[in-house]
Amino acid sequence: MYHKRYVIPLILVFLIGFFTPYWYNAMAGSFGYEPELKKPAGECVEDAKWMASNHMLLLQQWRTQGIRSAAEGGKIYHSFTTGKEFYITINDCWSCHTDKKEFCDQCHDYIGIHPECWDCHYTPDIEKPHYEGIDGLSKYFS
Amino acid sequence: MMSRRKFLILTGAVAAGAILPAQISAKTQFVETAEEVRAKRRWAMAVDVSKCTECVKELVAKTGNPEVKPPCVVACDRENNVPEFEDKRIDPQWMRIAKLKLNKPSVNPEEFYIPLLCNHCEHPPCVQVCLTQASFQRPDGIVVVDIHRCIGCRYCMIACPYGARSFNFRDPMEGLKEVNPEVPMRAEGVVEKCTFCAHRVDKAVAEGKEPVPACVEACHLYGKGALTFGNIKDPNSKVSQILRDNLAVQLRANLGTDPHVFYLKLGGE
Repeated sequence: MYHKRYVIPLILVFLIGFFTPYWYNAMAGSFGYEPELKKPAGECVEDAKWMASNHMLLLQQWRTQGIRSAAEGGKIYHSFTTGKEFYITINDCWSCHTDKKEFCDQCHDYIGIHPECWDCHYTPDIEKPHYEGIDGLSKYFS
Repeated sequence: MMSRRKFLILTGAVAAGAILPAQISAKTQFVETAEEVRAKRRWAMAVDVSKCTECVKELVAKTGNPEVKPPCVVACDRENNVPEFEDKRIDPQWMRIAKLKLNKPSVNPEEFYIPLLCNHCEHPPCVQVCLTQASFQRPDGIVVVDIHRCIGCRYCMIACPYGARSFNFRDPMEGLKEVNPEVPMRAEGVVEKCTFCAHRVDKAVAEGKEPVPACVEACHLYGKGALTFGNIKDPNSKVSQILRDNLAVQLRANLGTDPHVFYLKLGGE
């Protein structure tokens, strides 16, 4: 190896710089962020641990099969942990995880991820009255 | 020591593996296959124009507003989170009422009203031109926009001969007074249109019931019952019977799109 005297120290300097966040967190004692999530009420579609790391895969698959194959029964999902049948709708998530701020945002904000799902999909944060169904329209036509 | 050749092959393989879409299972077969659905179900709507005219004329006379929204349109807007804006040029509409007059006074000299909505064509031009395949036709005939894929190029709006599609020039949330959680809202910059209330259809089919879109339900509840929705592959369904007994007119049938919204009694009988 040529110029060992320069190359090896420079590599070391680079590595120290590259891993600064780790050194910083290790020294500050905040290594390994553990979010305090609000405990959901019911049982999840899949195993809770699996969901923690793979919920985005599940939602992506639901998105694809729930729209693209909806006519063939793509909205029916069979859980591979419990074997139970679920009808695909994102509102089912909100029936247990009632608070977006105290559940979803805890991790997403920390790692700086902003899912675009909630640009369109309903969340409990939307402070607008709910549609009451066809029967509620009688106030317009009476 | 690893040879350069081996190193490159390994790196390439790892990169290829990372690009492959991650998914839970490779299952592509659902309750039915697309061919089975195609043979079993084809959704269509029949509009009784004389009843529709009667209902709208009554409403216009009562309110004195020539642009009044009849029950079907109000129900559609609320059910599907269709926003309302003051500026008519950017106001998305899934269903609207048109006032027409035939240029053959011998058939029908009177003015009449018809609802205009997506015709869910058998050969939809909007699907042919869609760059990202966001618009597609489901095997049961409903044409849907997959909003996740729509890039907002508006080719489909140019291709549609019925003007059934609307573009979201502004965030729809600004124009919504109330929200239906069952149906996703749209974002700024995507195209939207009538889905024959696909969420209701899917739910009803899964539960083994007869699906009823919001406009049809409202029409029967508050209007004159001009709209009928059903499966034309089933010879005993109400739509099939109505289409057998009446002369049905398709809009711009000469274009070969084979629309599946049928207009009956244009003669005013």
